Amino acid sequence: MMLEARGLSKRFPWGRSLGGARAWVRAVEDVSLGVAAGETVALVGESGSGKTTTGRMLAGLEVPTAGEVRFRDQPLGALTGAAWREYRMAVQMIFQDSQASLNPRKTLAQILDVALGARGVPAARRSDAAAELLREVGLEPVGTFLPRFPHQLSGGQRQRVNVARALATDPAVIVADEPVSALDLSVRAQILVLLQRLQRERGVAYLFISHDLAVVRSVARRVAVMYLGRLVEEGPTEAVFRRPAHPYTVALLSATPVPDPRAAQRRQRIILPGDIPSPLAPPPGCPFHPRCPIAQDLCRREFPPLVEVAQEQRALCHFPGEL
Amino acid sequence: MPEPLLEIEDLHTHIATPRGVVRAVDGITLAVPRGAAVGLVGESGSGKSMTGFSVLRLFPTARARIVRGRIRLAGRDLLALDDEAMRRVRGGEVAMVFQDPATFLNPVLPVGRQVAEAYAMRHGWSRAREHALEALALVGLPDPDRLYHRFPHELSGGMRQRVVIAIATVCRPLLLIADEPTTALDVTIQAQILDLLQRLRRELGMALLLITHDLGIVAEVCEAVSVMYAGRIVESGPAETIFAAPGHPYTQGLLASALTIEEARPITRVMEGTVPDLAALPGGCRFHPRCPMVMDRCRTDDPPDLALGPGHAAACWLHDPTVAAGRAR
Repeated sequence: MMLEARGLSKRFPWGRSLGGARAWVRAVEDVSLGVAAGETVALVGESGSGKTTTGRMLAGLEVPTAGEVRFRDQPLGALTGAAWREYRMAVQMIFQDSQASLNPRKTLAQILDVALGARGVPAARRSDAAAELLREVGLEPVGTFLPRFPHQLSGGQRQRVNVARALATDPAVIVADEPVSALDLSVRAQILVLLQRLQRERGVAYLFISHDLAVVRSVARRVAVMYLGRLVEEGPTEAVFRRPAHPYTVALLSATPVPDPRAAQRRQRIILPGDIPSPLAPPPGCPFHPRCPIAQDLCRREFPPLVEVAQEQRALCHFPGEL
Repeated sequence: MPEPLLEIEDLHTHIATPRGVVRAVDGITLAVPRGAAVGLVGESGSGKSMTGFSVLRLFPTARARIVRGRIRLAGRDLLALDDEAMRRVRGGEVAMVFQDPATFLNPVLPVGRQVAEAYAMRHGWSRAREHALEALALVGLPDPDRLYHRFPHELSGGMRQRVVIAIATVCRPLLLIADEPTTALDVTIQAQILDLLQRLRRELGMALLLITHDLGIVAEVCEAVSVMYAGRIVESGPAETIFAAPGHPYTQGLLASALTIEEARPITRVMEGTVPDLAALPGGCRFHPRCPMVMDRCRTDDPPDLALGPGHAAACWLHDPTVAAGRAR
């Protein structure tokens, strides 16, 4: 595996009660997930599902409370010196908010210069390399873009700059956290086309974090669904979308509107009751049981097993495939 | 054909900016029949939100102003009303729900009180509490008596949006304008809110003008659609027709970029460029710089709405009879 999570957990301290135990937000609990070279794996879920924290741990921006991240089959803890630097170059991240992730006081030339310097590109070659990167992400004519500041760009252009900066270190994996969620439909398609072209040309793998299942279906080979810090279902995208096994996946798909009035009439919608529970106090038993349409006593009592429901498809459920 | 409730005709709303006049709404015509759900679709900067604000004459900036056009509600000319009369229309016959419930609600006032206030503004305080409790129950909030005294920050995003909808519907409006009502919500909560809006339409006989960028939501909720681009409605018609046989290249491009959970679509056909600067619109058809089917005429002449079928029209020269005849030959 190029990049892998093994039993990854992350807890954040939350407040402090006098004389009492400290409260912990269980952002991520026991998540295992791998990204192979050149593939796209989607990590989907709603707010508080832990998908962003999982991505940040895989990108080395957050230290796990338990479990480990492995890069090219080496645990991160074992990487030192050059190997650690190689990991930091090889795994890059792009974010939803294209503006916040770019230094507003630096021109595109300066932003890319820093990133290229980090990879060890000699100063004399960096301006050519920066121009080449902008060309690669479609910001042309390059000469007019290099001296610009981020605020002088549209949202789509800024996201292209973020992609260019990520490419500056010649990464093997890009963790893309909602990279197109803030963009308009036509611009979104432009960025998705760009990401796919870069994958073809450079063989870069993506961990594509998104709440948008329609985008996921078209970009990812494999998909992992998270709910309340847990990975509740994973498998090949086609299989999970055609035959979702976890009741949460079933409900999530049925709740997603489709841009086709005839299909909308045909589809049966499952409307889950209530809200996503607080990760401060996840429910006992199966974390999904309070909203699950088919929950039984067993689900309220016992944590569910990870069941192999089809080839390479697993669901964390006592009754997979029954909704 | 049901009787029209809202009729917007040749509406122009401009915003004065240091860079010049932004023609946010640039001559749109739109009708919402009684009890119907009409979707107003567009990307950012299309003018769809300003259209909603124009109906209520409630603008986020003092620099915005309706310069021309007619807005009629149940036959009454809204633009002829003075500010006081318009205040009574807002929250009365017409109410609006916005994307972010957190900023709409008063953080220091219990939510029930805010619903009651919306009722009292029109009908006085004597039965306001009773009607507020009823409205909270109607939007599906559990235990209205207890919830009445809670503050917005004590509620989840989905519950807050329900409170906002209770405020909007407590006076039983004829028309609810919902501007991206679920964009800030998670998918499973969005499904709850869309379901609620559909139920309120049935139970209150209320019409819905749904402003959104999300084609899936429109397909799910609306019978008719108007597509906005750079201040104009470029296509309008029955939802099934628009989705099955879009007539405007912009609508075609939007639908081609729309992805669906129903199939893995190759992401290939893409509209290049972005929405133009509304202070410096291109001449001729405003979509022509991005249009894959652009003709000479499109660069100079602004196309009128051309009929394509029953209730279906597109502002595009491709549908001009002479062009259509030429293509047929």
